[in-house]
Amino acid sequence: MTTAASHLRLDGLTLVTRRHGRPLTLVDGLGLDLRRGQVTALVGASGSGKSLTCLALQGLTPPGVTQTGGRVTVDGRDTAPAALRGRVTATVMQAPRSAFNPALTMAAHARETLAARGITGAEAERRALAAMAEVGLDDPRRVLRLHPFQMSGGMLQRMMLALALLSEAPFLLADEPTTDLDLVLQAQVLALIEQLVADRGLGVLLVTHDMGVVARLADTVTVLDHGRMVEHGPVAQVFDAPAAAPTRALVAAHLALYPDLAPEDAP
Amino acid sequence: MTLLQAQAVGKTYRSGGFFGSGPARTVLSGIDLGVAAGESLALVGASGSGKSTLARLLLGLERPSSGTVLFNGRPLDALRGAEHLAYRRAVQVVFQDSLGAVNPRHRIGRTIAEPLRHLTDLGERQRADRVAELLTLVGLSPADADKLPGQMSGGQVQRVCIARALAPGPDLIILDEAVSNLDLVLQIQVLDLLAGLRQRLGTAFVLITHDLRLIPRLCDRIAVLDAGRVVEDRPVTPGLRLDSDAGHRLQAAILPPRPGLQPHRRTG
Repeated sequence: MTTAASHLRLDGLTLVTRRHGRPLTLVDGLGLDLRRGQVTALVGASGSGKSLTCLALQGLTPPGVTQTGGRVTVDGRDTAPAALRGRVTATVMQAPRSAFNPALTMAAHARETLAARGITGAEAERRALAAMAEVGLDDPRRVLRLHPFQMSGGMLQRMMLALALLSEAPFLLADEPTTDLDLVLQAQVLALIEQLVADRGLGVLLVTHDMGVVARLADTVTVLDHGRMVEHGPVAQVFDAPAAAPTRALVAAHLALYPDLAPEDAP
Repeated sequence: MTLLQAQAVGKTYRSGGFFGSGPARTVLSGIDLGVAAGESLALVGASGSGKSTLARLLLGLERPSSGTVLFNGRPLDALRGAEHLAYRRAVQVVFQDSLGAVNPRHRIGRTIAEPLRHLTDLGERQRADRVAELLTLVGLSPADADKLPGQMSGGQVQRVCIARALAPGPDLIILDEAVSNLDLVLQIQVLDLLAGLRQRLGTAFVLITHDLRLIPRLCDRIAVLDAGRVVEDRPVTPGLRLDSDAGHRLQAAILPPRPGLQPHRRTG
């Protein structure tokens, strides 16, 4: 059963494109290890290949980009990336407004997600309301009748998490899940993900450029630079003893935002 | 002298769409807020607190429902001719979505020269020289004038928007979440660039943001908006602590500097 999957592994992911007639490597031999109940952060500057990796992991490589290497295994068994979606992995993206069909209500979105698992009717409604309550949406019955334009970004981001829960996929791929939210909403959504990791044993791939988000939530960190993994380790080690130059630059830029840190906390 | 001043400003929108039958929604009420020449003010608050609406009123893009916005002591509504042109030159803006703020078919040089054509009497040659100077000022190359926005990264296009805002030599630039779409290293670079420009040119700034961590890099004063009112207005000092409830909420939500550390998290 895929829902029992406890270990999702990506090996040797290589993505190339052609620019000015020449091959250009975008992601070079990247490996990732996701385990249930753990948050793995994938960090790096803009254009380092974070989001591409997240897409390729789901078999959603964009047009013009070719995957020339890479293997996905679930509990040691080879799996086609397209077979992960909605079964092994659920997704939360940065721009919630573009992730919903503007013509459909939240109820229609929830029905579609549940119908894919063969759950319909009253049982579908019961599960949708429960998931919406779990992510902290007030008055879920009212929210079910709303269209995306009637909801704030924070509500939509919660709804996206609720839909991810409905799939009951054991892993969540979160690509900059809080970048578009204000600080207070960001803190709430991060706390919610943390709680789902603890309560449901969700395994999370957290793609972000903000080392503050990493410090808040991650257990392990993989640092990408120009498509290559330059560092990988437990979160404390990456902050306390960053080895690669791109990691040091990320950590230094981040800590520069905390001029009031006590001396013993300074690098 | 206060450069730009909101006096008892309120803004109410009527909802209900075309027929306007819905209830009125008050977005801002009783706003008294001024920006002095050369000052740098941070405007913070949660989503929906009225930050961007206030920015639009200060820019003259919308008119307040009550109260007045004053430019150099004169109400915006009363500005005519040369005075109005001076206001348009003096107050510039940079928005969050940089790619949406430039014409994708116009080359960078034309985009930056646009305010020069409308707001100054510079000739074509002088405009080209000024564009080259502005590109250098924001850390780009004069050769970038020939590029199209699609040939640049998001961070570079945001610098182009800053160069365009600087072009007419403004007294004040309003940055409405202008760095929020950039990655953190770029955000810091852009803010440090603006702080440097402020020192050299004496430009005043209003930085609208929800990230309190960025504020000390550019701003010397902070105003907190909550549900359309200014609930706190104070200088930015080392170890800044906000007193208002909205300020507490923002401060408690600051991300930790290191794993296992929660800064400013208050007990009780």
